[in-house]
Amino acid sequence: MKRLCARSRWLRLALLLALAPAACGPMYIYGHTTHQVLAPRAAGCVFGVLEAPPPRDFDEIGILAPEDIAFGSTAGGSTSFVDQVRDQVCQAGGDAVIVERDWQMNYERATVIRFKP
Amino acid sequence: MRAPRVSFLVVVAMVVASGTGCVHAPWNPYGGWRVARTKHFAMYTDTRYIYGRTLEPLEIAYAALASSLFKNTPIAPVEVLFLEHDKFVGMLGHYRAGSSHGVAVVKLPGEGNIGDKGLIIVHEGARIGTAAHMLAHMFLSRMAPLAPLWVHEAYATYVETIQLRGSRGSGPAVACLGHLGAGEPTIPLDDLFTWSWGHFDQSKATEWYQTTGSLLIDYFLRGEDGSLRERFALLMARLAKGQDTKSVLAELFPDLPVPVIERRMKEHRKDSEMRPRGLCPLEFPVAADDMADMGDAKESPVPKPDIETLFLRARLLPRRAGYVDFFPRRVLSVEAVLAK
Repeated sequence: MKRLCARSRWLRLALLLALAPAACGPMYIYGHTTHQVLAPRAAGCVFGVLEAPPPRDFDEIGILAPEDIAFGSTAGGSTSFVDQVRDQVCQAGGDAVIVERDWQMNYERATVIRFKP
Repeated sequence: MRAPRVSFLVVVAMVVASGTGCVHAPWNPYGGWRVARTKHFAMYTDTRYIYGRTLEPLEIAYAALASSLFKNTPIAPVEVLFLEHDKFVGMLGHYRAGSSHGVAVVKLPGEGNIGDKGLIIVHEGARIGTAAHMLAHMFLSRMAPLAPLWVHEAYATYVETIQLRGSRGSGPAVACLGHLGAGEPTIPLDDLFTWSWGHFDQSKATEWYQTTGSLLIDYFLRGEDGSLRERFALLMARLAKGQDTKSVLAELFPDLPVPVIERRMKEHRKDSEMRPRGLCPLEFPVAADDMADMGDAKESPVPKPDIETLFLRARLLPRRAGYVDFFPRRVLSVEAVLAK
């Protein structure tokens, strides 16, 4: 019985380790594309998610992109995507992101923009 | 001895899991990189020996192109990022890894010490056809920065069959051009002249687009017994200034409306299949200055922050999971990327 219990513990451990890669979500990196250094916005700020360039004038200030594209590192749902990039967009001082999607409609890249006054 | 408690084991497992689950790259992926320099290239690599097998075809292609279509347009040293296949797939996707084996980037997004004058990214599958294709994009970008996409893809595909003969001392060195590549289907010339970069990428017909462009170049150079060459040179000069293809064609070829060019181009291809062109249809002597550097590359270390910035900027490119193998300067703007 004792041996059975110990085996069960190891099984649990093995299961957790096996699930580890699945726990890893998509990861977006951010890069500045302009000399402009903008003041960061408040943490948890609200920003627009646009499917096309807006009619208002804007500056492109940076780009969000997946670190690795081959192994499912792009986000599929808008909520998941927004949650993942919120800190980076707010820190960059962005008002909105213009998203580009791949053929599976996942978020492949986003340009962080700041509206001109 | 008491066995560890289950809760302790679970905590340890979760710590390990969280660590392993979020590692996207090996530890220290940007350390230990070197640049391997030859006469015409600066190749960034973290490999020991295999990069040499790609550096050699790049040198041969450079010598052949610099002696033929792109005389007097020096672009050396060309910067190249050499990635092993699996890293290339993570960076630029399965399609490019399996088909084009590389990409040519005129300018990376953002700023850094590497890649500001253009960058070629390749893996070990790249041979002379890929090398010539990528280099043609780089030469054209320098020579005619306003040239339309179809001209880029047409030339880059046309030179994929380029050869360098006599480069190892077996006679005078010559570059050979003028063989047609694989017999892919074609697309209508109206599409060739009007597709945007984004449309080209999403078309799922990139190879057909490239074949059509290449075939059109061959028709202008060799079709109608060579009688179109002079006007073709004028056409290219006008397109290099950014003028509209259809307007310039109508002006320079009033006797050949686009549907007629398309029909005759296809006839020319059919006719070409029946007539072998010989070993070297178009021959260009290679000057001593342009000869390929087949010696050992000189290696030196590259600072880790430079490589880290290079990878970050390359990852900011648009359509990394897509099909295009050429990133012109204009796609640095999101509006150009999303243009219909």
